[in-house]
Amino acid sequence: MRFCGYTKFKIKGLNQEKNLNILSKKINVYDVVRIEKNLSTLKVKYHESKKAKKILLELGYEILLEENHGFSPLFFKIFGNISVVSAFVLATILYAIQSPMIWKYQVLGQDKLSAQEIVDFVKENYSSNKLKLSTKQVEGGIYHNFEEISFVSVIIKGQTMVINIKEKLLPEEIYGDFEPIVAEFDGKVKNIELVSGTSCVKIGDYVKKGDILVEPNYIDSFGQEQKVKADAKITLEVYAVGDYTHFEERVEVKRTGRFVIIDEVQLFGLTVYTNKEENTFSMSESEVKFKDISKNLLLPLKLKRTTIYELEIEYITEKYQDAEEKILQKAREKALENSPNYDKIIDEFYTVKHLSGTSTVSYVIVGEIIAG
Amino acid sequence: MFNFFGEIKKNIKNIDGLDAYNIINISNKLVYAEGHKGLVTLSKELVAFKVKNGRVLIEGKDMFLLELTENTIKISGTIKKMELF
Repeated sequence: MRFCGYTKFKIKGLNQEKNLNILSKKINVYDVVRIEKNLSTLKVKYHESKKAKKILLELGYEILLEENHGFSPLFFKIFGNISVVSAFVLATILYAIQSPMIWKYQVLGQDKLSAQEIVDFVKENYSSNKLKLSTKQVEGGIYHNFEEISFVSVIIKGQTMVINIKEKLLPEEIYGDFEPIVAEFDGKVKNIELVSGTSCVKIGDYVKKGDILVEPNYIDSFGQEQKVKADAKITLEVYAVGDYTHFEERVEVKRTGRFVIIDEVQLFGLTVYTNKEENTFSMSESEVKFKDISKNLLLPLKLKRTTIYELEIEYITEKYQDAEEKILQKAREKALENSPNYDKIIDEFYTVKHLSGTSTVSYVIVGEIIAG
Repeated sequence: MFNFFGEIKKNIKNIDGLDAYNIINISNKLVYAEGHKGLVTLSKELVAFKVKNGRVLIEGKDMFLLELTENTIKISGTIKKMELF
């Protein structure tokens, strides 16, 4: 009974003998002790306890105590609830599935190398299943794949792979991206201060945008080409040009200052109201603006405002000499628009071409830009 | 299944009415009865139950029912006297 479990009742009531006879006809009772005339204790098997309790209550007993003992009650207390059992089973399955997997990667000790690059390498080349993984192999793979690494150790802590690396101490000039220095603008090489790499230009050379100025390599004493970071300070003379053409006789169209506003209220693109103003100007230009009248989507009413400006034609005669200063200023502004951010402006000059009543000014700004 | 009382009855052929009840007293510490007809009195000093054609009365000390089923009864304690009337 210890293994199956039993329930001990302490009952209070009259006619104990008679009622015990009734109870014993339906279930077996054990260890019946008469404490007092109307008070006794008895035991029943755990699986019959509910039935016994029901009978005892029907017989009019007052149950003073109900105690469960043994393995069976404990088992049913824990596993009797279906949700607890389901959660336990599900958790066990999930644990069994995910426990051998590595879910997180952690890289320590990297400085110049990218942690993501190392993690990607490990993910691509090695299983995330701990059972199929050898940390020795991962260490060897990382060490041989990344030249910059002098030491690597890999441990698996729970579901995290911790990669601890130590990078080699490499000189700055031979480390990193071996990209050449290229010209960002058209210009003339004015000065070269080479730090590392091989210069492809000399002072006085004209270069175009995209031309290589310094190659990221050098030839060592054995005649072998060695990679090196391209580093140099190259000063380029850059020319920015701005053209402006002046017509001595020209026609200009100007606004007179008179205008008409036509308002339309629209719903889904259809006009539902207009103020019926008309354009009576012989020559005009218009501007249209839209504005939401309502803020809801039920009736998205819009106001379409058309402003019509009256225009007039003006015939202008202006000689170059009279407007030279203004023309040069406009040409210079265009040259500045075309120029890069100069480190230093060296010179400015312009040329003028006169042809059949037109004058074209080419304004040039010469500046210095340091590349590299 | 082997039944102790059944084996005894097989060997006794000339006595009738042996199927009413069986009672056994083990060392005055345990009384086992088959074929009871209901408990009449239960206390630590006195236990009485009905059998066919009579009643069994057991006097003792610190007695309690070790087991009570529909037709069997086990009484444990110090048995002093057992009467049938």
